[in-house]
Amino acid sequence: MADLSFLGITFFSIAWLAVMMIYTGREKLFYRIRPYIIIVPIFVNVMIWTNPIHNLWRGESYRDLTTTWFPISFYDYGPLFYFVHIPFALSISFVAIYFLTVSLFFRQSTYRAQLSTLLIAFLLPLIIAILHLIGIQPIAHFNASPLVFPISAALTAWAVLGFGFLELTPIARDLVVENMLDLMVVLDKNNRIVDLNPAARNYLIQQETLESNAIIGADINALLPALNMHTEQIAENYHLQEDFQIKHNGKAHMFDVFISTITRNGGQNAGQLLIFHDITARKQAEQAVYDQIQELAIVNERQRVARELHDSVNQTLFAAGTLADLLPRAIEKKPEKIPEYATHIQQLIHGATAEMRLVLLELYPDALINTDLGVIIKHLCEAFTGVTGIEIDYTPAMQINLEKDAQLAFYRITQEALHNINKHAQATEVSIKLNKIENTVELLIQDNGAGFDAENVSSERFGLKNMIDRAKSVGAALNINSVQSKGTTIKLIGEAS
Amino acid sequence: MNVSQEKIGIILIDDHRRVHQAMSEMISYFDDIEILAQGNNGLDAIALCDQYQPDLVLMDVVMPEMDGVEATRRIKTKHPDIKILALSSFKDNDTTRAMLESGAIGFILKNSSVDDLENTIRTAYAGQGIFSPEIMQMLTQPAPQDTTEHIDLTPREREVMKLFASGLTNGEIAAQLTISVSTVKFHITNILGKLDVDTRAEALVIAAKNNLV
Repeated sequence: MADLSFLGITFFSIAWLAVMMIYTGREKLFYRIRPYIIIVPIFVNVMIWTNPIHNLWRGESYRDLTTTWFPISFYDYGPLFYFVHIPFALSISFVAIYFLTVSLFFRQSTYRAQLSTLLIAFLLPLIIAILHLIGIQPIAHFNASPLVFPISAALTAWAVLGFGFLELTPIARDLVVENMLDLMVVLDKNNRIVDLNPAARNYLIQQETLESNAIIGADINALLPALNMHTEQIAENYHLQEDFQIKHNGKAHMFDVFISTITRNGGQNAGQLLIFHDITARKQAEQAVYDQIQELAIVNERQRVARELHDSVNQTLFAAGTLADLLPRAIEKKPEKIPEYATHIQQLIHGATAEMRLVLLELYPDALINTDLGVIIKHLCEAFTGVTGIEIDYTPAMQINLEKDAQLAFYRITQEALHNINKHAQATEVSIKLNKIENTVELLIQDNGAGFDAENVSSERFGLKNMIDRAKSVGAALNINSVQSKGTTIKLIGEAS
Repeated sequence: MNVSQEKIGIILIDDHRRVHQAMSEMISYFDDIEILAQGNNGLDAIALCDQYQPDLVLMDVVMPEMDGVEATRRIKTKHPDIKILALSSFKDNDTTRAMLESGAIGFILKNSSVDDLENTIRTAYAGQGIFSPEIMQMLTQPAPQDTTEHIDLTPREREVMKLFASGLTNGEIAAQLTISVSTVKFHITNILGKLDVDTRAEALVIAAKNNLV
């Protein structure tokens, strides 16, 4: 029967390790290592009970009647005690002390007194035991450590009960869940709600799809069909959905949805925990930035067009300046060239002037909408002549009234068409007719250039798709008719406002 | 005029028709200079240099297909003797320095008079560097510090950033690029790291400032 008394001693260190690890938040780790570390004390106890067979635990006992006034039953321990039990118990104890000391340093000061008490309660019997082992014994052969166990236990009880830490943690946890802004919903494995926090209740109670007022027990898929929860789509800690919308007080709120699977012991699926994290504010901030970026892009594009036009003005003026510089030499050497130079200089200067006006129209879109379309197209024609030397036969119509988007579309399509004629058509004659017939505005752009095979030319080429899209977006009809080596005719018909 | 004297052979590269016209009128007054060929872009320039072996190329800088900087670099590699004179309406520091680094012997602006142009062509032909006064002034100033931070996004990250800036969600970006949502998140995490910001909104602002979107 005396052998049973070793049960306490052999398991003591592990018990302490358990308390320390659980208390310092290493509960999971402890349960994971528990099956392995209890092997040693179980083995030791088995050996203790079978000691008479092998005498590995202790040698023969004898009574010491000389050193004390009371008799001590004394025996020396065997190799099992010194080489298995003691190293094991000490190392486990030191690990426990390590965990406790670490948290002593990192916890808030309010917990320090409690932690220190626990540490003393643990160290007391340990120090006595170590002293005993190394031979410092107030009473020879008498191990006093069992005597300090009651003191140790009292200190532990005071630390645990006095500070109430075991009750504190769960309460704090509940408070967090109750007060948090994120919605928390616990589902069973049939996707029925079994628990939810007030924030979640607050949102879900307003769902029109909620039958009766019983949220608990409601099917989450009936309540929030868009969520489309499937039991089989489960992984551990899964980011289920972003930008999930839930209406609350008439306003749409955006949520990031996270899902965690709740498993029973043995890993079988017991249900899910859903967390809805409100990202409405973040989304609004992002939207504001998107809008700014869009505006920035429009401004950038406008500046690019203006820069290109400005470059074109420079080239035109350079050519005009060079020809003007040549006039004195021409008078001397090639008088027959003078009329040609004069015509070119005239075209170039008018072209540059028109381009400068177009730069301003590009930079100030209001001006582009408020200027008469007939005038704008005249600028385009003169700029074209400045760049190409080809005079355009332009028949304008004045007082054309178009919706502002339509006006913009007519301008851009004319610009694109003239650009194509300049770059690709090698035309010698170009004509533009702007006409107002009753309630429609008709624009006809014709050239006698190379043309293209409409059947075989991808609409991506020559900006054709852009032109067609632009016309469509303002409800205008665009008709492109091209015959190879005969030329191209573009007809744009829109509604006058 | 000494007929036996060889003429200075020039190739003119410019994407503006009126510049071609005016320049060939001008050259027609100089008995010892002739235009061998004219081209519209850098690719033309390379082909024409191979064909004509000119003494000098009058090269525009900003052109479609291939710009003057790249064309100059390639021509100088293949024909180190051909002198290239930049003729441009742009006078920003970067283009000017890029042209010179590529091997252009001089840089003249398209606001020069006929006398200046003639003088520049002859000086460059003689092998001397020559610049419009404005360009000279700019080159003698220290290069201004680049104010935009250098941000080194991979092409894929740029794509993700662009789609993200157009307001798409991670899921939509993933669908468009046919990659997984977690890959999109991985890219976005990298982008945030490279831009040294914590939130997506901050990333958008920085990207917009640096013309990444």
